[in-house]
Amino acid sequence: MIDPREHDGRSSSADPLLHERLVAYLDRELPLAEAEAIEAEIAANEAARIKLEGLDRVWRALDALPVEKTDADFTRTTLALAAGTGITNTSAGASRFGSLKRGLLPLIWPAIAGFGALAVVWLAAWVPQQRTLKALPLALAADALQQFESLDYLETLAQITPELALAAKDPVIAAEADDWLTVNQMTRSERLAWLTTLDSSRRDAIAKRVASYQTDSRNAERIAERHAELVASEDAERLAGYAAAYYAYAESLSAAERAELRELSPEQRARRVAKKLRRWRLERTLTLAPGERAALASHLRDVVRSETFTQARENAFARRGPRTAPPELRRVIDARLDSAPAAALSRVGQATLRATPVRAPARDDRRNRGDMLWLMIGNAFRESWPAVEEEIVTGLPERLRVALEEASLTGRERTEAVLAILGQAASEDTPDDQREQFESLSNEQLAEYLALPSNTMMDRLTDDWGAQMGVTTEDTVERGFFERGPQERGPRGPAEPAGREGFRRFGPPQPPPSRELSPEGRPRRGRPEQPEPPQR
Amino acid sequence: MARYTASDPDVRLMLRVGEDDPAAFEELVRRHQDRLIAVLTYQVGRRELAEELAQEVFLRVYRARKRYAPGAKFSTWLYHIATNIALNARRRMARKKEVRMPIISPDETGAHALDPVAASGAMPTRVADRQELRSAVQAAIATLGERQRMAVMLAKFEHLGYAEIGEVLGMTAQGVKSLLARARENLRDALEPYLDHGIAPTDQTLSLSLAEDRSIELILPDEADHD
Repeated sequence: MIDPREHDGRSSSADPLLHERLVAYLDRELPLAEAEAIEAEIAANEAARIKLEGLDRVWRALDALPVEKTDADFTRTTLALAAGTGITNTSAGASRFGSLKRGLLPLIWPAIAGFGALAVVWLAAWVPQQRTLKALPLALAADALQQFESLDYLETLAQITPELALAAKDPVIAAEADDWLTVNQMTRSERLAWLTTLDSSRRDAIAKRVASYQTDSRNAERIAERHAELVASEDAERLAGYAAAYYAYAESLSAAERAELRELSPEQRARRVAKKLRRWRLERTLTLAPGERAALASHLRDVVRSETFTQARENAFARRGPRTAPPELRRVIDARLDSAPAAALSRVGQATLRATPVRAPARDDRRNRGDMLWLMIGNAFRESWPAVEEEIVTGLPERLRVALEEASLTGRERTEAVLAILGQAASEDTPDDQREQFESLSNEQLAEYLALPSNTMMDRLTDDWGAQMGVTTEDTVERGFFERGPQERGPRGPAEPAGREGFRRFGPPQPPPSRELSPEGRPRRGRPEQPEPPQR
Repeated sequence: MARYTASDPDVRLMLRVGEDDPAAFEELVRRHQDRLIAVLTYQVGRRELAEELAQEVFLRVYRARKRYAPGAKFSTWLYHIATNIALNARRRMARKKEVRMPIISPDETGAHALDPVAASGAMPTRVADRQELRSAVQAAIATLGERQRMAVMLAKFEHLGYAEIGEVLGMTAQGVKSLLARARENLRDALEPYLDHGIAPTDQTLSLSLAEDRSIELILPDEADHD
């Protein structure tokens, strides 16, 4: 009787040598003599034969394993990546292309070679892998998608304020959102080609986003779900615009502000963000392009030479009188307005917004004395400033003028917006006198300055600048410019005595005005009452 | 060298690649990409990752083109590189996440657990259709250890001899002989119940197999497929 275990061939497992030999026989790895020996054994041993058949049957069953056809995208991308590693050395390649099997390849290879030439520079810095290319749409949007917990949040915010939808129309934001959706539709080779069309800074930014996305897997699953929901939505374009706009807003916040926002419930957050979006969008809209900055700087030179401004300036200096605006200081201010009009107008404009009276700085506070002077001059410009502001606005790029008109701003908000624009132009404005001061420094002097503690260096620079300009801030103190307390509005009377004489008459610096309390113990609203000037 | 050059068309192609012939490289990629990706998919468990690794393999081949000297079949060299890359990938994955899944899905092209009805004992005489057989084979392959699985793939689909598989895996031919013998025995244990009676490899079978082979590293679904 035959043992069933022998019949199914499993008993031979107890004979590992026989098993190995049977397998090797099937694999044609036995020498001829051993193969003949095993054939003899199979003929004589039913169990061995059954086992051999079983092994063979299982081996043939492996033919059922699928071998999926790799898509052409993989081949193209692989070849392009290889091109990026140096396969572009195809100067003699044209003759070889003719021998290729398919007629299309002569067209494809030069394209790949050209693409490789483009890719090689970039790939030297960042070689995107298949996984990177595949995850690219998600990586691009990941930072934005993790700013909120659901697309419903964006919908809620958009219902509260139209500013989100308006921000989504910003060309830069719209382009960002468009990238997400477009790249999502691309094949991997198209994504690779797309990446090579970007400038290096954009590529670097994307590389960082991808790296950040790949290393931060904490929220990856939820972000992936959000992304899938976004791209599958019928309103994908609109939602992507919202998401990109919200991301741009969040990016404008400090880390602390973002953290604070995250602590709020979605409803609270949406309400708070809705309040801020209008101003943020306005500031964003008012951002000058480099070309616009140069054009505005040119316009501002015309503004300071215009009749409106010349008259306003005369009025301001006349109001200050020769004691607070002596000729040497006026010369400095004129020079600043002429050589760096954006910066000078910006300081004047800021001074007009100042609600509290100008206080005198400490006697040894050289730098703040200079600021105080500007504030006093600016105070004198208050009445003239609206006309000056109009002059400035007429020279702004049209989109900024339109934005200012459409924003429904109060007078103060509008001035703040104009000053924000001036501030951008001022960032590249260096007054001639300051430039000359620095240009006149030798390397040794520069080294000497740099070796000083920062405060000491600034004091030295201020003193040296004054000496160079023929003006010292010590003089202004001695003349009592800052000791008069709060400035009055409107024209002054006859010219006041200067120098120590004035100081004696007006007395020592006034203490800060104490806030008067109401009977309920609360500070009174509005400007504090002006102290009576001492009688002459 | 002359032997391999003459007998292995891949070696001839690779020598042309060494002369910066892009058409030869394309031909090599096309000839091997399907099988390489399939083998790597069985090694790392996800086709997406396997494609990425395959790309890396081809790029390494390309970068080494100037140093290439035929001393074996081209596929031996190719899979030697692939094995190292797959091993590194699995180590990275293991470092990234310690959680292990109980069952491998050996590829993403249809490697799912058997349909419960089809796999039940209710249809012992039924002739398995192609999909069922495929699933059963995939499940059986998943029970193999990493080296066993690679050896099986190379022997079955790349038709490499024991010595060549030994070169790929860093083993002697005798070691490969034993390795393949154990692998085929494991496959038979896993597949024969299905082939004979329509009983799929069960979770229990898989668990036992895994417990027996401590060297196996399971595939981690740690990176979602986002497309």
